[in-house]
Amino acid sequence: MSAVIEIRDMSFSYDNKTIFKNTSLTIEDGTFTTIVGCSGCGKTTLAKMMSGRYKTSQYIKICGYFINNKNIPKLKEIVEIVFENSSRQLVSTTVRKNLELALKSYNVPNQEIDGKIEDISKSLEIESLLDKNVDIISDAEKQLVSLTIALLHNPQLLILDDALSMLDYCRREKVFTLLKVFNRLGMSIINFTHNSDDMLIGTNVAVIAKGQIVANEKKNKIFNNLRLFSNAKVELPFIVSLSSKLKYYGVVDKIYYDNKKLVDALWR
Amino acid sequence: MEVKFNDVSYVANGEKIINGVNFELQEGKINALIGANGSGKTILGKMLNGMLYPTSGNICVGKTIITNVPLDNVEELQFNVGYVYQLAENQFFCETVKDEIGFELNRFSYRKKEYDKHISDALKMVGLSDEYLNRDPFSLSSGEKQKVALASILSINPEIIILDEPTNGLDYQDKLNLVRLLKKIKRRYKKTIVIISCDVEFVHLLADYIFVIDNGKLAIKGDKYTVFSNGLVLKKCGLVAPKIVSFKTQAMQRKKIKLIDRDDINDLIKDILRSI
Repeated sequence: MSAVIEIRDMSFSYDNKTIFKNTSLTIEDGTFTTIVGCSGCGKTTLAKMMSGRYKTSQYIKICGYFINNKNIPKLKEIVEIVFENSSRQLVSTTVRKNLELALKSYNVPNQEIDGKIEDISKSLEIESLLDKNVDIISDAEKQLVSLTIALLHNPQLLILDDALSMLDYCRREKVFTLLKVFNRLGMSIINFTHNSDDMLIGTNVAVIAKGQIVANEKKNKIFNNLRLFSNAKVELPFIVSLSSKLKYYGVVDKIYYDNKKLVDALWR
Repeated sequence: MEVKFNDVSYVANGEKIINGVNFELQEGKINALIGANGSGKTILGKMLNGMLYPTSGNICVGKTIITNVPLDNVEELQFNVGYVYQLAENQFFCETVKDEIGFELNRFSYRKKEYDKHISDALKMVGLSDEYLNRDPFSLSSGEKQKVALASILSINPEIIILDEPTNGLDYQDKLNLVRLLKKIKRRYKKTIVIISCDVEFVHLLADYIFVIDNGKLAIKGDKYTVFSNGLVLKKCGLVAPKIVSFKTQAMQRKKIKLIDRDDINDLIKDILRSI
């Protein structure tokens, strides 16, 4: 399997503060990786580096390309990044106009634009927003529109930096269901998040602590080492925390990821 | 300070965003306005702070009555009602943390002598040291930005503090610290706190009283046990009960066992161990 991200011995500091020190990470192509860590640990720094928008002499390979003058235009074509507050990129008046603008910048032929907008807004359930002015929609809805723009591009790698933080539970569920579909169709997704439940969604989980990427494992293996999370000051998903404590008391024999299965195991 | 919404409606672009809302906040308590995205909860907060005016109905904040006529003394209202924005950086525009917090103080003409002390005290209240004074607020992490934003509001010592989605960008530790901080502010300074949020886990940790907003209307109100045990109404409003409550409800429904309302996972575990 080829790697979508390959970082070797990367170091980074600013304002005399070391953020990363000689850390390495390889993310396989086609995975949906959730990256967690406490605030200020360098999630946004890493996300920006992975997006390939910033020139660096470090060993960082994105979809097989190093970040340099020659490759940056190519990387812009294949990598999309959505930030927590991307609303500044919504430059046009209505949501529809912003989506049109994005599609035009991706060189989509004019006759396909309406169809594409209709399809994506149906799957993200934002039809009612299309003709609203971006000034009056809520911040959560702006996050949704920013994500839509990134998805319209159909990137090879999609990076989310707390990009869904304001969505309510139902919206979040729906967005993740859709992202999983894109992932199955071949899009690699990296989700930097504060929401511990997000770890249960993707295929892999990576943890950042003390300037290092301390783990990058398949979802079902990562929770075998819970100390990893306490050292990184990262909350566990409720169901993992509950079942691991019950496992400690010997009433269940493994970690559960689902309420129903845990209930069945407890009260047989 | 009493806060009462009387038949408040808000119309924007011909669309009724708030539709005849009546309720009274609990004084000196932590009140939570929860609801799905676009339910109108932020609009309610902004009306309380005088940033928006109701189209009809009125809001009583102490002696001030907010109607559809813009207030002459909106400064006085905003001195009593502090508003911490959803994205902290949207409220920043100064080059240093000190100036950022100082701006609010200047606005309400605090004496220069007390100026520095007020700023340090406000930073201390949110758990930041004086080292932050000369940092650029835009270069801080999301959690730190949130704290600076809260500090700038605390510095003017308002009676009512509104926090719009305060947990955005905060990690777990920061959230627990914020819970502790807000409970302390409530207890020690007897402030009325209003949390606008769709983060039910956070609200469950600290709210004394919850108002659920759905499509511009008040769907249900009550203490957290009353509100969060009402799964059907929550679902209709696009919300979900906190994890610990959902687990309890699911266990009770499927296996006909009895579990008590618990706030803490360790108490829940004791109950589970007892029941098997």
